[in-house]
Amino acid sequence: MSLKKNDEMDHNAWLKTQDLTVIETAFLTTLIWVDKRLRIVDYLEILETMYYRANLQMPKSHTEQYDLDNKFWYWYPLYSLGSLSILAYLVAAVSGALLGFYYSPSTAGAAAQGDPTAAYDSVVLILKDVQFGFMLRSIHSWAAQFMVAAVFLHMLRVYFTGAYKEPREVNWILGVILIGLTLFFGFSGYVLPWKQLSFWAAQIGVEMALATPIVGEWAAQLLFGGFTLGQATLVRMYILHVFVLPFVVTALIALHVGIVWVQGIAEPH
Amino acid sequence: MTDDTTPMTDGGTDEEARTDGGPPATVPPDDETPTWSERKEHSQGLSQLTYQYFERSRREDEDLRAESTYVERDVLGFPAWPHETIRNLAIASFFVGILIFISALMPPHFGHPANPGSTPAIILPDWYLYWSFGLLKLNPLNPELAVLGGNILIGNEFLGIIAHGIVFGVISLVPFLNKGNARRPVEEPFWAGVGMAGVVLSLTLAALAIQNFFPFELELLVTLTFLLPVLAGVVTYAVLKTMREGYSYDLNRRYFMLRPPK
Amino acid sequence: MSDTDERSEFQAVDETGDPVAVDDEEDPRNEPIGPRVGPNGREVVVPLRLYKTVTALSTLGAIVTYLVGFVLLDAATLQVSVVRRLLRYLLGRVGIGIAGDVLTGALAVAAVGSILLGTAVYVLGTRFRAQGMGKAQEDSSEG
Repeated sequence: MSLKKNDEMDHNAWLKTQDLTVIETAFLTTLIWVDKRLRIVDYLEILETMYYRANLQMPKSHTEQYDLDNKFWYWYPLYSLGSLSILAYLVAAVSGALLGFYYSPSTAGAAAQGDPTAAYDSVVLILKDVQFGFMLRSIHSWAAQFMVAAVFLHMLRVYFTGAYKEPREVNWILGVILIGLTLFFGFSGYVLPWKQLSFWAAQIGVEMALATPIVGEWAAQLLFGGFTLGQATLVRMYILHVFVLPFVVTALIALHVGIVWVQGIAEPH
Repeated sequence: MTDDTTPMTDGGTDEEARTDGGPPATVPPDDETPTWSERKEHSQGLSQLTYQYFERSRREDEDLRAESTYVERDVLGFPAWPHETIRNLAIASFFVGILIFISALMPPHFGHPANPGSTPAIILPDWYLYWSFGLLKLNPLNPELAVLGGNILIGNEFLGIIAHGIVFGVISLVPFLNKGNARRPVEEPFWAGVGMAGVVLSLTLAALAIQNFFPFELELLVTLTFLLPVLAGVVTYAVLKTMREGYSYDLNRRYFMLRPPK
Repeated sequence: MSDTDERSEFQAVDETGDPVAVDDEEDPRNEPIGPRVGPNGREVVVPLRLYKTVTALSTLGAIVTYLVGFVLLDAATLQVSVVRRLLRYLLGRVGIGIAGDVLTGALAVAAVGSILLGTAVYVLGTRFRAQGMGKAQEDSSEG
């Protein structure tokens, strides 16, 4: 594995002995000339050697580790749902960060009831003026829906294959918490554009909070910034959606996966 | 030496050991030695390159194994690289591809700006919260007690919140109620039935949330919301219970094929 | 390959780097070097190292010419293209004022030419193959 030339053959002399057409000779001469200078094939051969070496040191796969039949493969999509929800989460994170450049969480600018607010206008700006903005919002929205769907299906898979059984109770409860946070993630994102449905979904949220005895009013203050919806609600939802929840959910996902790593996957059979 | 038929030190004869003068071919593993016709089948194009890859990595693998002290055991699974890695990459790319494709095909609707003064006819969250929204519409179940001067004992909204608590609580309790080594639904028809009941309940609750779209009475819809899950659970239980015997035969057969009794 | 006797120059090697026995007529990797007419038209058998050079560099060449071709196509059709504006700026500096239509035409021709060149290079590269690759043996099951 070194750059020492191991190809000492005199290609040009060899070319002369062959019965080739002019185009072929020119073609080969050019390529040999380039190769002598750029040495690309030598680098590729180093990569090739590294590829063969690396093949030997890979960790055991799950199918190997648990003696699973090769026929296991058609169940595999069900077992990748957890990873797929993380993947959708990443897509949503990237597209959401880009959307965040243009969004402004403000209810200012509405002269009368029902007029577009600054938040609504900034989403309109994303849809109409920003390059790829329309697609970006679409991707963000669908990534969220894919993530929720994958999380639900992941829970069903874990339930029906009995993967939650002891000693994995903690991870199951962590998963239930993560589902709740995911749903709240989606809800807070639904409120942000401050369109009609956003507003009334948030209204239902406030009413639910206020209906709870003892902690209800406190919860409404904390999450919605008051008993009626307004600027405070929007800013709180915004901070929750782009600052608090990303950190909390990412940390919990890391913990969730870390526990799986430590405990091993629940051996299917 | 002498003639070809004189036994040599290793028990063979010179006749067998003779080569055609070239260097030795690659060392084949005990029972995977490809026959010459197999080698010929892979003598061209892409299949030759693939074949070369396997030949060479097997050779390098063998050299390393000869040096190492690792004790091998027989496994049936795919290796992590390249098989599983390639497959995972394929699944991940397919997933993201479908995501982007659907985003391009069906961009989400963008409605009118918020108007606190006019309540829209239909208020709905995203589809994944339908079940939760359905739990808020359980007021027909709310027991009306006249003791408080005609007021209901607990508010309709609070009833919905209690229902949420019950749902999350029951789900969290599952691993503490169901223990043991059973993994497959056929091994535990009861818990599979509970699971199916839960799935159907989430669907019927979603239907309850969008009750305006159903052309029959609310009374019937609420009844169905709780009847259908029970029905689904019972059917699942019955089916799995019936299938159980055949399944365990297959399972045991497979189990003993994989791990033959000593 | 330390021994450099008369046959080493065209010594075929197997997949593990060992030389193939030269007097094994049956081994397809011992087929002679040189041009011939194969099942898919003319083909040229070359030593493995040269085959690698041809494959790697012709593929790379095709990729680069295709990329350049599409960038030029972009410059020909998109008024805000960076390449197009850079070109106009440079031409303006040397004092050549050029009409937009002419520039578009020239860029389009260059673009299509580049893509065609890449195709030609790649197709020409497929004519070469290493020993034992490609040509069907008469008793092979792989047609």
